[in-house]
Amino acid sequence: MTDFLDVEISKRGLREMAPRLKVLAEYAPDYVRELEDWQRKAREYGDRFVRPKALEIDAKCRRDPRYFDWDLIRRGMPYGFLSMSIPKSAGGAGGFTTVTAIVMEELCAACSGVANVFGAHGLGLSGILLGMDFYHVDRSLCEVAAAEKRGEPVIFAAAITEPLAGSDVEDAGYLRTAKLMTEAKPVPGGYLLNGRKVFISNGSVARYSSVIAPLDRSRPLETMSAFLVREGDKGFSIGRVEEKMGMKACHAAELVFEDCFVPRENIIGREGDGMRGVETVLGASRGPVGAIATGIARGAFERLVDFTLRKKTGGRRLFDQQWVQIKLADMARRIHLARQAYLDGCMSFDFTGVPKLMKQTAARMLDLMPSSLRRNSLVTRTMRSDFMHRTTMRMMDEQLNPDDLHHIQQYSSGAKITGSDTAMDVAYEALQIVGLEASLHRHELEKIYRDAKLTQIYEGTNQLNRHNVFINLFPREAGHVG
Amino acid sequence: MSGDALRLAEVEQTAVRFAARHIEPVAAEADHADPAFPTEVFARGLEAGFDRFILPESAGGHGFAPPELCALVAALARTCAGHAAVFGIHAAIVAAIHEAGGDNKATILEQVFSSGRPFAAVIPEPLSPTEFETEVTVDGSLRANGRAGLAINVAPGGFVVAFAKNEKGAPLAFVAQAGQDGVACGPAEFALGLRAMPLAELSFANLALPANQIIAAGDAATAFYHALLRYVALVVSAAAVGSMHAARKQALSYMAQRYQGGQMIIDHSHLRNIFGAMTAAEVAAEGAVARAAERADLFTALGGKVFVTDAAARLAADAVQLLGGYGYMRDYGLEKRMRDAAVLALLPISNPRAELLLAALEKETLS
Repeated sequence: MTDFLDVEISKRGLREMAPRLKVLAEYAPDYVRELEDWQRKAREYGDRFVRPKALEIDAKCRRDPRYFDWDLIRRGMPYGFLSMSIPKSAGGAGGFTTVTAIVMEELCAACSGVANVFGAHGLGLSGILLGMDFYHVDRSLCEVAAAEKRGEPVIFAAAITEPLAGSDVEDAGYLRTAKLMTEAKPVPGGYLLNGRKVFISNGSVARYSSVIAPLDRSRPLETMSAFLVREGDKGFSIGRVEEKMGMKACHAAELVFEDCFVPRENIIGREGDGMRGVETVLGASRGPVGAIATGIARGAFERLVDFTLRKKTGGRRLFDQQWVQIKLADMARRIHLARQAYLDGCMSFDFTGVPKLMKQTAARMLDLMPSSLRRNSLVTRTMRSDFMHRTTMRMMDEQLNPDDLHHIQQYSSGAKITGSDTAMDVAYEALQIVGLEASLHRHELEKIYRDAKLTQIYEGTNQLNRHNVFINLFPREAGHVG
Repeated sequence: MSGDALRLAEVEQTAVRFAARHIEPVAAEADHADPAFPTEVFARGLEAGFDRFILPESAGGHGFAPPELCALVAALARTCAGHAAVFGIHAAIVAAIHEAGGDNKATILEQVFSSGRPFAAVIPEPLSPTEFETEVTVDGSLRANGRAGLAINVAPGGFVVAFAKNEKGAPLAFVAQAGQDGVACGPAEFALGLRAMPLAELSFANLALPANQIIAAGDAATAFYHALLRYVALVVSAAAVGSMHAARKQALSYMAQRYQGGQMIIDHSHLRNIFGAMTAAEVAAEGAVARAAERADLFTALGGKVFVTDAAARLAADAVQLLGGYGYMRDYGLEKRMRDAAVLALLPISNPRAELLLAALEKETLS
């Protein structure tokens, strides 16, 4: 194992890694400083706590896929990663997707499995945030932030994928023909949830799961809705925890719902909002997935550079050999481009997507209102009223430019594809440069290769994301055809 | 069907039956458990004659040639590339010793065959067409010292082929036995793939090398090194082709069962492109292996292995991709194929190193 990486690139600051931020610092210094602060925190947690334990956790999870390193996650609590995207009024830091992405790159350079615990948590709670559902912000998200301050992790998960429907549930065009198993039947006072979700990151360790399910399986697009399910809820259980090839530190679990009663107030947003929510959430999360992949590629690159500086063949360091230099240069170039791609995806989402609404006067007033006041029953009823919902939807329609929304989808899917393909290629090339030794667990590169593959699969396969780029590039002409 | 084709088909059938009976039941567990040499499976392979498969009958073997060896290894690899590598690497070392070993080759092979133990090897990195790197030195009294490196196919009490240089830089190839005085063999290490074929660090401390342990010295040791590279490249390529076939068939089966967007996955034209490219890669890889098996030269074997193993790694990753989340999970076995393929690409030397050697070998032909 590499004890310490004395590699120049692993010490670079954000402005050197992304020149656009050097320029932006002239115009929005506070914004760039905030990003830099998050990078510093993530790098410190990654270097001090995550990297030294990455191999050990991977090995333990191989023997027991249910092993979860709570202690390591607790050590992350002082850094605030669980609440970084939660509004300030609810005790969080109020960061958007660019913050998440920068944190993800740093953590993934240390260990993408551990990073994914925080990433999947962010995905789980983003439905509440992006749906601007202050009812849940003031309850479950406040709980996350308050517990984090006490050093206790409260983790979220997003439950979207089903046994017979993966990408189908992530795309409105495919949803009509999806073979769904999960359904939430309206009953007095709430809903009865039945079915199964699979491969749910954090599923077995989450206190809260945001579960996507239709009210009527024959009309999934029209009735898809999101529900908040708490661990221990009657009728909700954890099935198998998968034995994954990589990213083992973050569980992928099966969630089983058998007549699980969800009270009416635990719907996220409104009935039928689910697919809109899924698409918004994935538009927001695919940029950070690009960052996850970029971090994985960078982790491979840093370890490789370290190895080439120490390893000599024929009396010369590998680092000094031309064939290695050219390959390192090409890796660095691709990592740089992957970083630019995720910054495009995340920044376009933050500045032209739903977060833009949160800078509007009405949303800011709501956010400025103390959480305790928002929890007042009258205010709660008002905020969950039809009037407020219509107002919010109208605000979205008026303020969000359709072209911008298409661009966000293109850039975020593009970032996910670019990053994940880069991660796989860089990890494979790193194995090749090191040679057979790289296949040993203790050298870390083999773990990185296993980890990298998942980034081409989750958050919609790269094939689905390519199609998403196309249908948002040609929104009027595009259809879903084989 | 010609005689050659019949023989190949017969070898393939034998291997398929053997794999179904002896490898299939243990392959997944061997991949998951702590690394250990598959002693039981190897013993059954000895009964089937896999150890001396490629030796001429005059040398006590079964008289099969490289094409049959490749057919055997490829067929085994359809079930498990790691187990296929166990037999393939052993057979490759046997073939290299028989072909390029010196006066002691018959004694060495007989000693190994009679022990029922496998061959392992530490394969040095090439520095030029005529030189390779090794930290092991032998002094005037033929005592070996130094770190040999990572040995492949290591078994308790097994034999290992290693390389050294004397004070004048002249190369030497020799065989030692794990457990012998002066041989330090580390524990089998957990690796990315081919986990049935253990890897372990090997070094020597004042290891006495009697004459009957010397495989070749001087230019003959370099010739043996080339023969070893060639045969290992050949069996690795064959294992890659077998693994490609199995991965592709598994992906096909999934694609024909699973629906997306209201149609079978295989009916999505983009996914047909991916699958068709996998088919094309397998066909080309089969051709490359067949040609390398027919031509007894390092150039073709190594060139073929670069192409075939890179293609196999890509194909296995694509097969995982076609299964989506299921492909990433252990239950479906494709993630193992992806890991195995990546390690095959590192044997006997990694592909960029093989490319460097290929160019250097070709340059030699100019002069």
